Amino acid sequence: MSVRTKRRLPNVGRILAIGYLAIVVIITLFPFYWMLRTAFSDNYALLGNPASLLPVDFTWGPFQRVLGLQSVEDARAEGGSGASVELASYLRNSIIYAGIATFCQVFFAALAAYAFSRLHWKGRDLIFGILFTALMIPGILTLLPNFVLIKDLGLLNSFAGLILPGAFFSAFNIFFLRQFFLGQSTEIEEAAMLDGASRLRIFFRISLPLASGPLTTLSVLGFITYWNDYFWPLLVSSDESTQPLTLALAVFKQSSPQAQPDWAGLMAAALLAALPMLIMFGFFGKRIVNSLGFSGLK
Amino acid sequence: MKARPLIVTLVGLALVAPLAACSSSTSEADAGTVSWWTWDDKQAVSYGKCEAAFEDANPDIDVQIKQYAWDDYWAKITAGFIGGNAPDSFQNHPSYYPEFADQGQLLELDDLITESDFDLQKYAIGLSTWEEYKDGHTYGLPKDWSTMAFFYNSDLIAEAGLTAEQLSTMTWNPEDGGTFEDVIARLTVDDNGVRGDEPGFDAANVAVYGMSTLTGGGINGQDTWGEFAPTTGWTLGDTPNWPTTFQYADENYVATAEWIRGLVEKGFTPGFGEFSTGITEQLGSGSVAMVQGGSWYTTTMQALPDITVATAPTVIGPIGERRALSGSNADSIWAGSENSDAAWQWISYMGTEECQTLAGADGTFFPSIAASMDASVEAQAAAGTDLSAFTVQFDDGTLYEAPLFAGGTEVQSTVSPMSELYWTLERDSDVFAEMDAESAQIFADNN
Amino acid sequence: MSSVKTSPVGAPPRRSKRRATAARVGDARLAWILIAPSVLGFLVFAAYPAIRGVYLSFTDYRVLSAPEWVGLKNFQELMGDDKFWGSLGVTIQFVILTVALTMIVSIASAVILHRVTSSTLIRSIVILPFLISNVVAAVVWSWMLDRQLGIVNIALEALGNDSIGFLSDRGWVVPTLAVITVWKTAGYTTILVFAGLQTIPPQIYEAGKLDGASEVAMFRRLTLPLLRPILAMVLVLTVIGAFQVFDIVQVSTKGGPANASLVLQMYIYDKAFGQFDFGYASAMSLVLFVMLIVISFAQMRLLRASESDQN
Repeated sequence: MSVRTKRRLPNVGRILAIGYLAIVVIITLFPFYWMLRTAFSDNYALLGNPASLLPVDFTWGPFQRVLGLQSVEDARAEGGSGASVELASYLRNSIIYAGIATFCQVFFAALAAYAFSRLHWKGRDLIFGILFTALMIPGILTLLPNFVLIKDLGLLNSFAGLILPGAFFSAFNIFFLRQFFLGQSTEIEEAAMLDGASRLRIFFRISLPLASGPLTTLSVLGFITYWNDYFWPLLVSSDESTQPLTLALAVFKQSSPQAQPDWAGLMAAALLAALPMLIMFGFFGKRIVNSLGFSGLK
Repeated sequence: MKARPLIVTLVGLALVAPLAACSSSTSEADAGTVSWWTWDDKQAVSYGKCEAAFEDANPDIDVQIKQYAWDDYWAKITAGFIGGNAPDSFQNHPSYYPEFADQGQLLELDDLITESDFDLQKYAIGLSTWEEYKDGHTYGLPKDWSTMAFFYNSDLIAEAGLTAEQLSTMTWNPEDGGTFEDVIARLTVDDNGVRGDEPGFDAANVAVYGMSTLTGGGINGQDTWGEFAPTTGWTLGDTPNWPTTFQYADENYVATAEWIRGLVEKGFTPGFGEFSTGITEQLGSGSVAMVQGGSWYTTTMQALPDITVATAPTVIGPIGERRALSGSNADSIWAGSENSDAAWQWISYMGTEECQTLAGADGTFFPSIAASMDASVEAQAAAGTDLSAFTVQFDDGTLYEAPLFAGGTEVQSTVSPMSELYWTLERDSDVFAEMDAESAQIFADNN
Repeated sequence: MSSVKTSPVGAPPRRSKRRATAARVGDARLAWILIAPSVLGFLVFAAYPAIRGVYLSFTDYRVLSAPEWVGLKNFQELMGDDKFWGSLGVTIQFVILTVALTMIVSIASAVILHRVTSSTLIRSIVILPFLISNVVAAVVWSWMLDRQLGIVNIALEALGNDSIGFLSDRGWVVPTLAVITVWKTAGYTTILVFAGLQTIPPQIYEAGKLDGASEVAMFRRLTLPLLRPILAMVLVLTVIGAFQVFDIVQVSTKGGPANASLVLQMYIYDKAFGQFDFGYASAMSLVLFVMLIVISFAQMRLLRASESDQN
């Protein structure tokens, strides 16, 4: 952790800065409060008082609905649909999908990033440039062909089908890690090489552990992205053996353009879905935030 | 230690591991399984009741009902067509069915209908849309209908000195707005408590609007002008189905649209986009005294706490009658289904009076079979819901269906934004002729 | 956690050529093995679909039947398509606003977090919006900004102003969407910039103070140049992301009112999944793709982002 001496700004500047931060914090947090307020409200009562600052007709119902703990009648009475949400399966699927996909994505990217930065071989920069353009491919261009490919491979409604397209190659991760490796000093590695260690051993024993910060960062960010992934699982999964949490929560979406959505349930669902990541971020937070310091510098 | 074998193993493992992690994918086309999809979560539950009875009668068939929210529903179905795993049967909608039929994705039902002696004529609504596609075949069984009515705040009309009787017999014309405009003027109250029909009314500071907005509504104005303009004798297309052009430039439509703009100026209705929340919030929060909504809102409206909501049928126009748009959904079978016979048995069962009465009792949809509709009305009345504002249209035969046209979604996304320009006051009625021209162009391209 | 070893500012660039050629041959072989999975993934799931997409843009492909070659017809139609040009304009406007706002907010927040307070709590708060889905974010903001019933307008009116149609007024809709997007993503970029700031040795600022420089001057002369590579990376990524915005707009305005917020991705999506005109949608995607490549490489060139490698 870098040690810094606090600079004393002139009072005016300091007040302005703190004021600015306060505004940022308020604007950031207020919508979350709004979600919370809605998640504790009764849907119909909400209709009567949409702008109330406090929960309208306070109820635990929406959270119960999301967790599958509310009866159909009670759910209907509060404006929910009464459809059941098998949370356990969806949760398990999300963990498997996000977990495996993230691991694969980060691991393969680390291998490649090392090759693009530490090793020297013909065509290195050219190939990197080509891979880099993949960042700019509009999602829609790849969506259908990937879907057809997965279907042809017979992998629809399977975890392999869900994970494969993104797991092997992530332009962003490679770019990120390459920047990191480029900024790393090579002294230790050179010393190890002089000692006779092979490249690979150096990679696994030295370089990779040194990169634990960025690796953690990418893993957390990747996990969050996969956790929130909606459209691809929508196309590929068809039942609770593979559907992740995001799809299950679609139960709370508007069922038809004219139907009344279960707003309270949706908010409760969104908050609960974000919870695992909040916990994870809280746990790794300090580490991530401090470890992001490397990209593009030296 | 030699790195190579390690590398190879590692990479190999990494490649194979995800594949091994795949769980068995159950084929949807297991013998005897019929899948049926719908976008309506409430209907999914209602028809679940029919499922039990059906499976008892047909023990070798297992019905699987699945529901997806509207936006996802069509994406999933299209993906299913492409991926070869579309549902055996599904609830279909007039705006998508021409495209699907043209692409050969829907099974022709004609033979199945004749073979099983299915009486298509028992459906009072929906036949003009579903009975015969332009190629002469039947692609769906129209089993339900829905329509619009006014929902109003009983307390507010009592305060205004109006009666339910007055609300149920409103007349209208595009010149002076008929008794309808009188009513909503009376119901509108400004910030100072002055009503819309009293002197000193301030149109710029309205506290309670008499009526929800009649602007917007897309190409057929289903929840807005779609119950007004046609009562002048005007129709959206020049023919009931497969029109060659829309007719927005017709003087009756123009008069209606201009009158609606007038209402906004007078302060009786909100303008376009002023409320992004739905009519239930508008009514429930007391911002609006009366709204026009579909029959699917009935349960929600009734559940609003703190206010009593009553219904009234739509206006009676210059032709002496009402006109209300009826939606019509049907069940179709996927042409690529491996269980089409079983699928037919399921959807034809859903279309029987027995199932329609059973499922219809929940009030989540209106059965298209008259006898089932009556049973449904009775069941709802027993539960305290009065559906007469809707059924009067059914009984009087004043329902109309939206015309079928080719290039449905293209017309929608081209013409609808143009109409919005009119409602936001950026363009005037000259935009209507352009809208007609665009529609004619798209229809011609697609036919 | 292990600190990244960096050479002090101003040290001579570390040249990799210094390393002997001893491992060159082995390098190449090893390199290919290491990049094999990525290249495989790239070819199968990125390059192949992209190339197929390019092919499709020259066809009339209605999704449910086979593609039919039509040559340049889609592109010709594209040239004359007002809606396309309109949506391109909307997108560019959106991108400029979003990127500008994101960079300003990120840099300001990061610098203040760096120089005024080092609270981990605030850093965690700042990244919260990233943790929820775009759809939910859009829904919540739509409620809050509703003209009649939204809390923001109610507050405005309580203060004596008129209500504003944030999402329903043509003039306001794109800036509003930009703000919502920034709300969602600025935390993430702030953390990136902040981390970059942390690697700047504090001695620099000490020296600057001794020379009598003000905070602002130090920012301009010291911080900004040292941050250039990371700012360049953030800029490139933000631009790419902004061009591909979809969820937030789809959920809150559906492209309205009257196409005032119809961003390119929405038009493409509508053509593809709404009208099943995949050939045309692919053509538009191709145009977008080429634009992104040109813009990104131009940016990197201009900002000399890859110079960091050699330092």
